[in-house]
Amino acid sequence: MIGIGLDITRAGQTVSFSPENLRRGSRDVRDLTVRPNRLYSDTAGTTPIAGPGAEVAAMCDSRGVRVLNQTTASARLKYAREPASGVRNRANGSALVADNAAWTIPTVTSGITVTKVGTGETAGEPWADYRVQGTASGLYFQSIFAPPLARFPAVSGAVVTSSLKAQLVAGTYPATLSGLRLDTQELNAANAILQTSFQLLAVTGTTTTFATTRTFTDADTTQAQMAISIRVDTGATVDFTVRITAAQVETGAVRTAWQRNASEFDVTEAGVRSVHQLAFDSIDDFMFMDSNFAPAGAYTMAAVRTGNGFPGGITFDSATAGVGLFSQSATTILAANTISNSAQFLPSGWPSGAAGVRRLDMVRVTGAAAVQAWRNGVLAASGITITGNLTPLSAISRLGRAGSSGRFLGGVLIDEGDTPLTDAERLMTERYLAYNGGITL
Amino acid sequence: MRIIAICPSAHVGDANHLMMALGDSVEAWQDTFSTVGWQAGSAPQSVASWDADPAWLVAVQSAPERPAWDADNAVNMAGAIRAQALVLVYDPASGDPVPQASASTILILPGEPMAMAAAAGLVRIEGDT
Repeated sequence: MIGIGLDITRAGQTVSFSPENLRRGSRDVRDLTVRPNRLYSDTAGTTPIAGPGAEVAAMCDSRGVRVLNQTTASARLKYAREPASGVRNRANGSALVADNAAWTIPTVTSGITVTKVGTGETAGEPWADYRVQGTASGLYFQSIFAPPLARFPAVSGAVVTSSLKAQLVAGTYPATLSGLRLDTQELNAANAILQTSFQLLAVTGTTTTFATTRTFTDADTTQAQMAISIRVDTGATVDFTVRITAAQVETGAVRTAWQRNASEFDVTEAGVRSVHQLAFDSIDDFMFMDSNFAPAGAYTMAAVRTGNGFPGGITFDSATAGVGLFSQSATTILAANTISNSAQFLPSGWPSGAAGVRRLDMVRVTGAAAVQAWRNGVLAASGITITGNLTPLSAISRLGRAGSSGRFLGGVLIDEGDTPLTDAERLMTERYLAYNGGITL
Repeated sequence: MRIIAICPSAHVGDANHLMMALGDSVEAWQDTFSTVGWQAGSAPQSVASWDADPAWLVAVQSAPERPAWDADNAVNMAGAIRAQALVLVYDPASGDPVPQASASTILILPGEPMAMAAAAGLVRIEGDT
C-alpha cells in the first residue's frame, strides 16, 4: 500500500492499480485499458471476440460498462497481441505450419515433387516435414514459405538474420547443389530482389540451427525478406524428407529466442508477457466513445500508441475532425478547440515518435494556459507551443480517426472535476499505462 | 482476404446500399463509404477496408438480390444495382497493372490497403487541424 489513498500493490511484475481507483468526487474517468476479455464482436458487448485478428465492435471497462463501439463493419479495429519486449520475428504466419497459404505446397515441375507430409509441434515449436523426390529435368527452385509473409521494411545498412532449425527425417540428403536453401534478401519497393545472401543447408539427422545474416548494401532497398526454398540441381535424383522448425527472420546479426508468429496480429514468446492492442488499418478504422469527454476545467489525457504522421498519429478526436484532438507522433498535439486553442510539444531529446515505436504520451491541463506533457515519463521542458485557451476541451468522442495508423495499447481520460489529480495519482496512472504498453519509464 | 474498396464520392449513396445488400445488416454496412479526404486526379473518393470472404468477392461481381433479412425493404435495390454496375474487382494474380481510381468506377482491390491505395493513384488530401 502506498500512502496516497490508492489501493496499489505489487506482486512480482503485476500492478493491481486500476484507473477505477481514480474515481473521486465528481471526476469523470475513462478507462480505455485494452484487454481481450473486454473486447466484443458485437456492438451490444455480449459476444467475446474470437482472439487475435478479430474485429472489435465494442470495448468495455473493468466494470463491464461499454466505453467504445463501432457499428460499421469495415471501420472496426482488430485485436492484436505481441510480447511486451517487442516483435522480433517478422515471418508472419510462420507458426502456422499446417496452413498451406504460409507453408506452401509447390507445384510439380522439372520432374520434382515437393509435398508437405506432416506437421506438428515439439517442445512448443511447430514443424513441417517436406518430402522432395524425383529426378530434375532442369533446375528446380521453389519457395516453401510464402515470401511476402516474411517481408518487412529495411534499408541499406540494416543487418538481417533469417534462421530455422532443420533435420533430415527420411531418405538421403543430397551431397551438393541440392537441398534446403535459406536466403536473406534485399528488395526494392516493387518487391524485386536486389541482393541476397544464402546458404544451401547441410542438413543431417540431428536437429541443427541454421542462420543466414546479411548486411544490406543496396541504396534502392526498402524491404527485407526471408526465403526458404528447395533447390534440386539439374539431373539430380533425390528422395529425402526434411523437418523445418521455428523459422524466424529478424533485425540483427544473430538468431534470438524464437517468437511464435501466427500472424501480424498474434506474436507471442515463451516467458514474456503479452501486451494487448487495437490495430488501425490506416484507412477507415476508428471507434466511437459511448459518451463525450468534454471537461470544463482541469483534465488529463494519456495513451500508449504506435503509428505516426498526421492523421496517422491521432489517438482521440471529436465528431468534427480536429476540433478537439489528441495526436501522438513526433509531436504531441492537444487541440482543445481547433489548432487556435492548442498545445504542441516537441522537445529535443524526447523518446522517439517514429512509426512502430511504442510511446506513452500524457498531457495534463490545469488551466487555460497551464499544461504539462510527458513522453515515456520524460517531462517536456522545452519545445512547447501554447496557443489560445486549453480549457474547456471541446468534446472528444472518438478513438482515432479514419486514417489513424499503428496500434493503440490503452489510455486513460480524466476530467478532474472537483478533485484535482495528485502527483501520486498521475504517476501511478503513468506507470499503469506504461506497464500495459510494454514501456520502461 | 484484406481488401480496399474505393468509391467515387458521387456514388457513395448507391454503393452503401450495395454493401448492405451484400452484408448481414443495415447497421453494419450503411456507412461503409463515409470517409473523406481521398482523391484520384480531381475526383474525390471514399475508401473502406476490411477482411472480405472469397465468396463476397464473387458476389460483388453479380447483380445483387434483396437479402433475406431485409423484410422491411431498407435496402434501395435500384441503387445497389446501379452501384454494382460500376464495380471492378482486381485480381492480383492476373499480372495486370492495378486499375486506377476514377470518377466512374468502384474499385475492389485485394491486398495491403495502403499499398493498393497508392497503386490505384489515390492521394490523401486531408490537412492538419
